[in-house]
Parts: sequence; C-alpha cells; structure tokens
Amino acid sequence: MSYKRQLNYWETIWMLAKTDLKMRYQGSWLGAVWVFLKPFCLFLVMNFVFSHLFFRNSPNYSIRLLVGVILWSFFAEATTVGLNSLLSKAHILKKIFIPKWIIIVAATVHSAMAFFFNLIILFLFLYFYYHIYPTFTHLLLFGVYIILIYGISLTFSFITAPLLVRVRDINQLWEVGLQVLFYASPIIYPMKLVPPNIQSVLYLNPMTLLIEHSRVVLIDNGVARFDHLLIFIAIFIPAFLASTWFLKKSSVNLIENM
Amino acid sequence: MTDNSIAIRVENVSKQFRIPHENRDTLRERLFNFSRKRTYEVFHALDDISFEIRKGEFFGIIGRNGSGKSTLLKILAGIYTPDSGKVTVNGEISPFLELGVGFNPELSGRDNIFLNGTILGLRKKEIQRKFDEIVAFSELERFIDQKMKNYSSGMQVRLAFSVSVYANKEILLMDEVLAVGDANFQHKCFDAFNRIIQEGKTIIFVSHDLASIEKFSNRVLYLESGKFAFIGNPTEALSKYLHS
Repeated sequence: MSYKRQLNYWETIWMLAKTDLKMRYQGSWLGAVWVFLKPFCLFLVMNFVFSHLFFRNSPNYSIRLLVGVILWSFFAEATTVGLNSLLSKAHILKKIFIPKWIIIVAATVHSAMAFFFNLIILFLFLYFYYHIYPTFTHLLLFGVYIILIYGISLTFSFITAPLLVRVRDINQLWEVGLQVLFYASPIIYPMKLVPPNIQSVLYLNPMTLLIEHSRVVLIDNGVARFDHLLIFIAIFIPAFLASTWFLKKSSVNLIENM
Repeated sequence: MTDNSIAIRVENVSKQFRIPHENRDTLRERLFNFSRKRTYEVFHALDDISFEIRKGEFFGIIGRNGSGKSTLLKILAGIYTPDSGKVTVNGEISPFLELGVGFNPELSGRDNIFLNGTILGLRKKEIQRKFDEIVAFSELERFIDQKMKNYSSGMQVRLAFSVSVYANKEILLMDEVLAVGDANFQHKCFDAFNRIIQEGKTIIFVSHDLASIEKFSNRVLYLESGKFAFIGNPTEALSKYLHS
C-alpha cells in the first residue's frame, strides 16, 4: 500500500518529548531538579552502605560508583520508557498514522536529557573534587560508549515495545530483568573482586563492558581494550538493524491489537 | 496511478477482526491454557470493498453502527492494514479521524495548538505563522493561555477544528467530527469545508448526520455490515439506507 504523510520527524519527536517533560514535572515543587536528585540519592545511599561496609580499600570507590549509577540509570530509564512507549501512546496511534520509531525515540528523549544533566554533576566531581582530567581521546571514547548505551536501549525498545502490545507481561518481566542485570553489572562492586571465570560471564551483559570501559577512560586514565570495543560494535550494529526490521514487521496489525 | 483525477482507489479491500472469547493476554494465561483451543469469533468488518473517490469530491460514507465505516477510514489513513486488497492514495492525507489528536488537558490551548498541529504534519514555522488565524477561527482568544481542562467540550472541539482547518492537506478524512459544537460554529465549519473543496481538495466524511450528508456530498457510499450496498447520488443512498 502506498502511503505518504509529510511529517517532520525531528519536530514531531521534539514536540512529543516536550509534552512528556511538561507532564512529568507539572504540579511538582522541585520540578526538573528531580532529574539530578533521583540518581544522586541512589548514589548516596549505595555509597554510604558499600564504601563504609564492604569496599573500604578500593581506591576511588565513590567516583567509580557514581559513574556506574549514572550510566545504569540512563539505561534503566531509557529501556523502561521505551518499552512502554507504544502502549502509552495508544490514544494517538489509534487515531493517526505516525511511524512507530518516532514514538519510541520521543519517549527516550527525557532519559537522554536527564543523563546529560547528570553528566555535568559527574564532571564537576571529577574535575573539582578528584582533580582528574581525562584527555580528549578518552572523552571521545566515553562519547562512543554513551552512544552505544543509547543504541542498545533503542534496540531493546524497538523489539519489546511492539511485543508488549501483544504480551502485556513484558513490563513486569523487565522490572525483574533490570534487577538481575543491575547485580550482574559491576556497579556496586569492583570488577577486580570478581573471580575470573565469573567475570567472563558478566561480560555477556552489555552494560558490564560499557561501564568498565567508561571507568578506565574517565578515572584510570588507562587504555581500554580496543578489540573488545570493536567486537561489541560488530555485534551491536547487526542487532540494531535487526531490531528496526523487527519493528517494521511487527507494526502490521499492531494498532488493531491495542 | 495513471488516472490523475482519482484521489483514492480502493480495490477488493477486506478486513477481519478476530475477537477472542476470553482475553488471554498474559503469559500465565498463555502457559496454562496452552493445550485448550483458543476460540474466537471472526468479524468481517469489511468484505471485498471497491470504489473510487475523485479529486475535489465531497464524499460521504453512511451505514449503521458496526457497518465498517470507521474501519474503512482507518485503512485509508494507514492506521490499519487491510487483510487483502489494495488502497492507492494519490495525494497527501490529513486524517482527522478524531479532532484534536494528542490534545492534552493539562496543557494550555496555545501548547495544544502546537502539539496537535505538529502531529497533523505542520512545521513549527507554519503554526507560528497561522497561529493568530487559528485562534481567531476558534473564537478562543481570551482563553488561549488557559489549561485545556478548563475548557468546555464545545470549546475543545472548536479549537481542534480550527487547527485541522489550517492543517489540511490534499485529502481530508473526517469521522463524525461535528458531533459537538453549536449551530453557529457548525455553520462556520461547513463554510470552511466549502472553501477547502473550492481549493480542489477532497473531503471524505463519515457521519450519522444525514441532513449534512445529503446537503454537502457529491456522492455517498452506503455500507451494510461490512458489505458494499450502494454508491452514488446522496438522496438515493439515503433513501436506501432509511428503508433498509
């Protein structure tokens, strides 16, 4: 069927995202401050518990934890809103033709913005409290990791958002899944303390590599394994393409099931 | 499409809905009821429908509740996919299946104009340029910065209709869009329709308001439980519909 609609994709994404933002913070006193407050409180609690009780001898534990928490919050939030995006916009999708990916991307804009504000806090700590100054190359690599985190969140959402329309359990499952992945990522514990055979299992979790490498380039001023990154990208790109194909395939008869 | 005077061509379009007898949407239900056969009713919303709509026509669609009018419009709008058959659309569609798609009661009238306009395919600059006209048409100048939840339903419809009047493309799909709104505003709406038709655009209009259908349509399609019943002269279509 030939179908054309002139829709400015980016303006539509931005407009939907802006509405989401306004809705999210309307009627709240602190408003957008919650963007900082939520991951930071999470960090403070974990830092208090773990740096005093368990990992007293780990150098730079707190800043490593902060990097982990911020990257994790981004992933957890983006996947959660992405997963629910199509179903929560059913009232629009039932009434007008909009490419599904636009709805999914628009839903994740808030997570991306929140993440960038959190990055500012992270860099303030890094520069002014720890006096760590990553080189330009390191920052560039960190940028690649961020893009990859966003990329895997989108890949996940492109597959699960249309599935959720048909099987409503997926959002419950993902809540559990996020808990499992959280403990399967080296966020609260240093990777060095994990036995080598379990380490390799942890690296099956894509967030493990991205969090570990981010710490290497931001905090340790070290050399992250470039071959690992290349393998990661070599897996990621076909997976992402497959997810866009899947989204297109599953868009047929999707609205009918809403 | 070879014939350039045709706006929409529908060829042998069918659409079925499977309505399960019991909603089994969760994994548990799927697991535990795996062996049991899933029973469902097949509902033929549209059955082998073919017709053409010419450019510049005001085309009415009538039929009882559940006769497939809205399903047909959703297929034309690209929301539903037909099970079989083909739809060819020659030109760009403005699907106003419902006025004010995406309207958010917590936002101001102003914000909603931008939101709805964008979803309907207007650029931000176009909305800014037409903004005053849109507000003037809706007669809501005094209320435009109030939250929409404080609007009466008539006010909401007026604003929604105003945006769609200024967002229209070559082909307009309208599903019962004038159910609300006072006589004065309805009059204004039909004036707007006339202007749109004079611009050479096409309007496809689904309604139970038979008087309006008869008054404005060039041709009428009459559907009877998903099947083609009649197409052509509005008066004839109405009498067939009323005597069925």
